[in-house]
Amino acid sequence: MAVGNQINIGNLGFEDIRSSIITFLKTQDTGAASYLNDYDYDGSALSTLIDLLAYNTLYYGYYSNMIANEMFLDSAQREESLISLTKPLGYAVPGYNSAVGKISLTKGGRFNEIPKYDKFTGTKSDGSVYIFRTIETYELNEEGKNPAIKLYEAKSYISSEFTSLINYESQSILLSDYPDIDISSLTVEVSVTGKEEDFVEYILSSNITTNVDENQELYWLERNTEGFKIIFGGLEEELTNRTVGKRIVRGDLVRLSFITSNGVDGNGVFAFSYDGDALSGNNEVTTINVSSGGSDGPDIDSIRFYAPRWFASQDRAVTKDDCTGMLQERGFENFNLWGGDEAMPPEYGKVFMSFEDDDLCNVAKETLDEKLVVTIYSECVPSANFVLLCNIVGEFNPNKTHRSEEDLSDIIKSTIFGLYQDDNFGVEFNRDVFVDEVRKKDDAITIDSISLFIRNEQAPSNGKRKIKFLNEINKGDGSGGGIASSKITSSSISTDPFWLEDNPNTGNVVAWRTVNGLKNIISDDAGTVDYDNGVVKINEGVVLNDFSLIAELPHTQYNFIAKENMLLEIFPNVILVPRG
Amino acid sequence: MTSIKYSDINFSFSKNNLSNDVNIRTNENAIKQSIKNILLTRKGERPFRDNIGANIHNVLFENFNISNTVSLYSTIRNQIHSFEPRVTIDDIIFDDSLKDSLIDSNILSLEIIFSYVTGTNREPIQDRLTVGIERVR
Repeated sequence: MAVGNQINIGNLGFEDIRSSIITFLKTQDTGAASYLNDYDYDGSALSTLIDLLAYNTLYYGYYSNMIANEMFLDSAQREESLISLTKPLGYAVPGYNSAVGKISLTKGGRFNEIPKYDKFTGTKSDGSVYIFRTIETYELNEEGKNPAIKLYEAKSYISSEFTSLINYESQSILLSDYPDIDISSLTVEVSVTGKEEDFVEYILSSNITTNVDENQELYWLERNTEGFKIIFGGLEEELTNRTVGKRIVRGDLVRLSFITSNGVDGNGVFAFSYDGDALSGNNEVTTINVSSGGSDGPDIDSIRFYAPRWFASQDRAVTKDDCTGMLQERGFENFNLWGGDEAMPPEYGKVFMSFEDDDLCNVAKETLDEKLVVTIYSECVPSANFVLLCNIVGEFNPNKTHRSEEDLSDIIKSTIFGLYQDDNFGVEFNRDVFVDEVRKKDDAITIDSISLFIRNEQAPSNGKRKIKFLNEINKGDGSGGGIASSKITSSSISTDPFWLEDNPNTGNVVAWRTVNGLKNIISDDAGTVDYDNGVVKINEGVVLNDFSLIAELPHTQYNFIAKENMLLEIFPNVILVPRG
Repeated sequence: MTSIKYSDINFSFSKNNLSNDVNIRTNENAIKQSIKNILLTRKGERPFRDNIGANIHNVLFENFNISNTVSLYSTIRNQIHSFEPRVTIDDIIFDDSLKDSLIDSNILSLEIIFSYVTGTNREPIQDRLTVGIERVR
């Protein structure tokens, strides 16, 4: 609203602008506005003009706001703006991604090579058939097998000359007719003689290094509003008079080969079979991984997240964030990655990864190893399932809410499930965040206490066991209080059923059972407990069957972090009573 | 001399040769212009103010029967009551003389009898405004 004879320009709603103008006119006691006083009557000409002015102001206010928003990576909403904004970061916003499946193949005929873009078919559970293609050449070994062939879902396969589309001035080809191209499948070949046998493959470059000269056969990729743009070399850098990469001249032939994708529709395909011409005979195809990772293009948030990280890593995997960013950029999801220096115990020179789908970890490892620094190598760690049990005790004020006790308990549980998704790595349970969130949902609830327990299920084994809770374990005063097991029924130390617990005085795991109602210690040295680091070791032969082990977190500890390979599920148990 | 209480720009935006400024309308003329403006405004014509407008153009192509007349009467009263608080509608007279002779000519003529208070005079003054519309093609 206008204050005195000043117009407040902070209000950008139509009514606010209109009121502001009217209030301004009311304050005028000189000039034309002072004797035109019908602004308050909607039928007046003055009111019509004020409406028009307010509309115009709103229009330009909105327009300016949009322009300002679209200028920055954090606030841009249009994909075209993000493509433009991320271009200086060297990030080509990906378009469609083909779903990728993995197979092993044993040949039935005499040939030993599966060429690039060879054809396979696969079937989904609903019976729909999809075409898949290789995007690299695979050799079969002496036994006629290849255990790991990656197949990319291909709506269509294009391989033809694009010479007519070359813009010689900008040394570029714009692929505007293929919005669903999977750009990772692109092969660029050039024949300088114009002969078929002289095609040479050009290499994709992501940067311009000092050792690139004018004869190197390179191309670069950009994306603009119309599609992907292939840029060849030969443009002179004015600062150093240096020409980078080989120039395309008239008479050269340019051949592009690539696949287009059905995006997400290509996910979930299995039952692959060979449908190409290169191999003869009855080939045996075994599905290793069902197709996954197909997408219809990144969403705006993912562009915002990945572009700066891509820029930071410069397509190299040096830091932990580089590795994470690189895997995410290539479509891997729900994994945890940690450096060997962070591991418990530390193992320098390694990068550890854990995936929900352990098979996918090996695919990620292949990807990462290509970019890791020399002397550093990656290692897959199988994921381990843990359940965080949250015993939540609280009360509620019935006078401040219309909800029942049951509804309020459900609110607390739904808050947990809303904050922490099941089967995720790296989950951080934070008491304060949780309590704040509950209070926002209904301020009649008061959380009095939260006890945290972490449970791990162990499979049958006759070897030593090492259970890494990786969070401080409660060290009780007397016997037990830190860890407790389910009933052990198969062991080399006792034929009778028994249980495990800790002895905080010795730091050992104790095996015990009851005899005539009294606690009887079978072994006071069945393993060890590292309370500070949250690691429990159980000696060989102590437990042969499957069982579960629960560790209690210290009562003063309100936070829990699922570290390393911990795949966490949270289970809340709520006790809520009305305040008296 | 009657003091000026209401003043508005003349919607014709004609020039005053003495002041070289746009002509203004005052008191009853300003009110009449305002009423006419409301009647001739179509709903949705003014941005973000969808409820202003009597939409009388719509009846040009309707059968001129009692039902439509009552509806139009009610719309005009409501519009003026809502957006022209300076006046009170005393009556609205539809020109029936055109009904038979120009039944297919798409012409509407109505006279609004209203009262208002202006200047130093606290007694309501009654006045009349005739509004006519016809199809142009």
